[in-house]
Amino acid sequence: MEAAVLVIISPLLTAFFLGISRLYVKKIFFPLVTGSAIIYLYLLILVITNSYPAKVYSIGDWGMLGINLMVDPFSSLFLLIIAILFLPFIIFSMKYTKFIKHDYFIFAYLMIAGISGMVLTADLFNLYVFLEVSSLSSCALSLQKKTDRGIEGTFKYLIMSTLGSFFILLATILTYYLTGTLNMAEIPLAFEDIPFKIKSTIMAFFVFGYALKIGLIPLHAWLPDAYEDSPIPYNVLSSGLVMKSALYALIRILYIMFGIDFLDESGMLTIVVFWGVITFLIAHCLAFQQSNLNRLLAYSSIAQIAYIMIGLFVGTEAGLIAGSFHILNHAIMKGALFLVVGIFNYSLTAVEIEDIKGLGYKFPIISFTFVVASLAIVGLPPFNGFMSKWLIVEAALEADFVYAAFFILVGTFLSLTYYLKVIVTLYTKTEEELLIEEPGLSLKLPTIFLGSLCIVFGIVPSLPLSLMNKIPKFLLDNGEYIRILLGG
Amino acid sequence: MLTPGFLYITGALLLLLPINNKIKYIISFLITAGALIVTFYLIPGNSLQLDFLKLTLIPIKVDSISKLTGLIFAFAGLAAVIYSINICSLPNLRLIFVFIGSALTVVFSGDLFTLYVFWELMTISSSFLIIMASDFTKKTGYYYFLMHVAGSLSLLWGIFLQYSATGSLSLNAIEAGTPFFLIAIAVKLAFVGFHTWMPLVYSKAPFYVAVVLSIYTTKVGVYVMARLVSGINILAYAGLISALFGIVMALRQNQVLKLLSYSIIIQVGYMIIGISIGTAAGISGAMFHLVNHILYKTVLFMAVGVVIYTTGKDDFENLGIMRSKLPVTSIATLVAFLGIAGVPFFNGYMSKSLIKDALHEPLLKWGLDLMSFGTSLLFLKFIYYAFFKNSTMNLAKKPTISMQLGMGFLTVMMILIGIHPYLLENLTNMHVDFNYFEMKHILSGMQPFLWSILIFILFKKYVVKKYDRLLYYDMYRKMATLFVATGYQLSNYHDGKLNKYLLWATTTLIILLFLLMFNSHLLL
Amino acid sequence: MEIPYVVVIILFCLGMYTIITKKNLIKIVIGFTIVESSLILLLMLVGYKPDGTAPILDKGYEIVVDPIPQALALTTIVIGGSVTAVMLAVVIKIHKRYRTLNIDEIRKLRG
Repeated sequence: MEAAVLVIISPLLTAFFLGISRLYVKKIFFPLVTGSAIIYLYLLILVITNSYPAKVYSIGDWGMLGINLMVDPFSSLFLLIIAILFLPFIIFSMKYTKFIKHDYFIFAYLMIAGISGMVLTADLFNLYVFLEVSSLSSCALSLQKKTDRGIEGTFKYLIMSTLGSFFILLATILTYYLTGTLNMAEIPLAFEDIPFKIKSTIMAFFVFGYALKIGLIPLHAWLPDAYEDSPIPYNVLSSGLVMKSALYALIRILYIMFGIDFLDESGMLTIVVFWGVITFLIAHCLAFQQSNLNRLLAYSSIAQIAYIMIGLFVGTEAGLIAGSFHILNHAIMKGALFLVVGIFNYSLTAVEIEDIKGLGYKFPIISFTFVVASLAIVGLPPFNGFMSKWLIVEAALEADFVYAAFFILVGTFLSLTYYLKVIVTLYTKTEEELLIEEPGLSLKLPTIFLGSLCIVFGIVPSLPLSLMNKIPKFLLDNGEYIRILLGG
Repeated sequence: MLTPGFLYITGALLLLLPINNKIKYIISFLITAGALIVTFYLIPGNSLQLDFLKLTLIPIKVDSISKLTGLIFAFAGLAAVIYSINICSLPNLRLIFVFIGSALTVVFSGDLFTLYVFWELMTISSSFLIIMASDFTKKTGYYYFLMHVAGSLSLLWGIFLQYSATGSLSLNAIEAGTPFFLIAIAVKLAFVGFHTWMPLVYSKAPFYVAVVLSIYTTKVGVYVMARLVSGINILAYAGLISALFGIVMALRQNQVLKLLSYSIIIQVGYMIIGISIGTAAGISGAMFHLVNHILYKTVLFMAVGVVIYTTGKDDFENLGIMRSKLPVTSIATLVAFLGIAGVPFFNGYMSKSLIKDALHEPLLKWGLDLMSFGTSLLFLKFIYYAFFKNSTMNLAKKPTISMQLGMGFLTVMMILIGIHPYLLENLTNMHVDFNYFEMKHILSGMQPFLWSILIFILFKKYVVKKYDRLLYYDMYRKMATLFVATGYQLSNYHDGKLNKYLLWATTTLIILLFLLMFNSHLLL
Repeated sequence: MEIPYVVVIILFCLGMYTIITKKNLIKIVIGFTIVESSLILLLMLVGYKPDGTAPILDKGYEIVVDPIPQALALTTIVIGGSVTAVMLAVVIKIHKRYRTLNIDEIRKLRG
């Protein structure tokens, strides 16, 4: 079978066998989880390296009637993020999770299956199904701690996310009603005759539904709640992948189905850029108020997503490259930050900023990773966040969104205020004797790996950018995507 | 090509290795001395190009101004590292190395991107130096970091404007976004209104940190100003105002380190005036003054550092220990004092008269005299406490040899420049047609100094008075309160009511539909 | 022909109204199922053709309804069922912890 198909199927199978192993053979749990993760990594690398030129896999020999999978540079970017985050996540969670491991990993694998499905599919309804798979298992994951706050946060997350899903479903059905097809390549061709206003309405439903999942202000309220008391390694995947996969779907739908010309004409680009600016300004203000580390990072995620939105929606080639680069960078930086917080949480159940006082001297390397990642996310050189922010600002200026470019710099300053607050607390000496459970290598290694990627991608940005330079070709001109999908 | 900044940063990486004290000394000495030698042999006109993404970077580009600045930076770096090597911990030493390295790279950078990156790296390393240095400097470090990042973001925005206007990142005179460059530079060189970080940091941070910071932070600002925005005549008056403000504030301080930091504002005022004249003579005067200022201000900071090290505080009263117990420090202080006061045959005199000679407007000339007068007046206060007031202080600790060695280096250099002012010109091929030892110049150089002695004797009790109420007003804290209050309000809206959140969501949908239906996006 | 669509719109709005205004957790979940039913109804209407028969590709069945929406509707029912199940499970958990079903009293997360 094709590797791209396996990318979706293998985590599904793993989840299935994990379920069986929970019931009958508990011994094979560890080799199953790690072995499958490693095989999965191999599969991902195989698909990513073959992603250019774009390829289409049709399943079950149904031709255009069946479901097609398509691998192009934009989807392989997301596969790359999965490849970078997933193995560290597995290694970290093995040690970190003190609750029932089977459930946790079953849902994790289901979630990955859903996300990789979303990224690869070229069918609108299929996209919705995979979206539901990933968001339901994501809800289940955030429940795993089974604390009061965790449950409450999950409920709010579930309500908001389902609301979003329904609007996406509504828009999907309307699209089918108007065009008679669900294939991403045929929709834009059929869309040409549809009146402007109706198209705009459908687009509004799509944007609203996905924006709920992405968490743009004021649709963000569930996000910090869901993060506050959930398993911290899950937060890594959540901010790095779940939010991003919704973003992926939105970009895919808007750029391929509606096309850049329509976006420009209907004013969607202007609206989203303006929305993004408001979002990150408010999110930074809110993040400063937080005393809980998870909430702080959650608000910071909202702000970073807003940067990405601005990058992707200025509607130029440079903007798409910059936004994609920031997607990757944000996944890495936020991953590193959450993992560090996870270690603190594991070692001394710290959740508040006050709790980590003086840890800078107890965990020098881990704290240094935190400093690197937070400076990177603030956007200071020579780390990766700076490079992508530079590109975003440059693209925004090029596309005449001068106010957006200016406020991104203001936002950089605002984000420093709260990250620096945490860093200063980290390095403030304290008299208290702390009971510390020593974090093992399996907690430290993934953290340091992600932290060092922040530096590597900052100094050698051409490494990931060589992949991303091809993204605009398939998004700005939807004809290219359609041709490959129909021809394949 | 081996660049001095690169050398320093390599040194910082080397210090990451697990090493003992002896190797630490060897590495530090090799790196600092090596950087000085490398800088000395850099040939003006050399440059190096590097392709980075779509940009063409020039990480090193040498000309006479940058070579002069680089030389004094490397020399002061050698002295400062020797001075502080025994006092500071290994992590701090690393940060110092990164800091010096990035300052040197800024000086030799040939494009705005490199300039910005290392400018920011200076900010980061110095902030962490302050934050990590002691328990009392956390808030100060926070303040310093935020202020400098605000400055450097302003620089970044200026760079973006310049880049989109001209399409090039080369380090020429600025065409677009000048105000933003000016703000960035103003923060760095502690221009009045943007100076609030300086007295705070230099008085609270450990003295060796203050020594290192005072050498580079403001001077990099001056250097970049000379590079990018020289010749804006109106700024000369701004420099004058800044300096006069510095004099008033410096006279009203009770802490020696605060006096020294306000005096930096005055000295930077000279450089701003020199640069803003825009003529070759003015700029070279300003750059020479930068060299001289680094020499004597560093020595003064080091001397006060020795006092703090030996007595534990930096009150004026404690300076008295110099005369009785610290001979080397006393000599260094005296030389530095005569230099900063602009007395002929000492180093400050040469650059001050150069700047004065390049001036043509009578108001500025008069202002310059006033500045010299004020400077020597406030350092007479310093000298008075150090040498003329009886004190009964005792040494708590002996100063280390390395401290005295670092100070000694700089003092010897000062004396050399004072006696032979052409040394700097010959070193860098920046020739100014000026005879330092002409009677006219010597007389005009002496005048403010003599006046200040007279005034000091007459109004001694006002000058050496101890002030209870210190002038202090900080508008940035007010702005921060606004930001926090806004956030607090916003955060209060998130009170956990799900219905509210859902209502927000629905409202958003309606707004979105409205915007799309009626093409209202044109309003945005 | 118009009336079924009107029903869909009414159901959808009713569901949304329930979700936004009701304070009881169970009622909110019911609101979601109402919205979901309206969407399934819409799917059926999309595929419907007057006088159409079951979509069997054979002789004698000339006018068939569109098979795809039916497949979609099945999938949607399954997804909706699982979403409702998860929601109810969480509601049970919440009731155990908070001893209430009033959404306004479940407010530990703020700021």
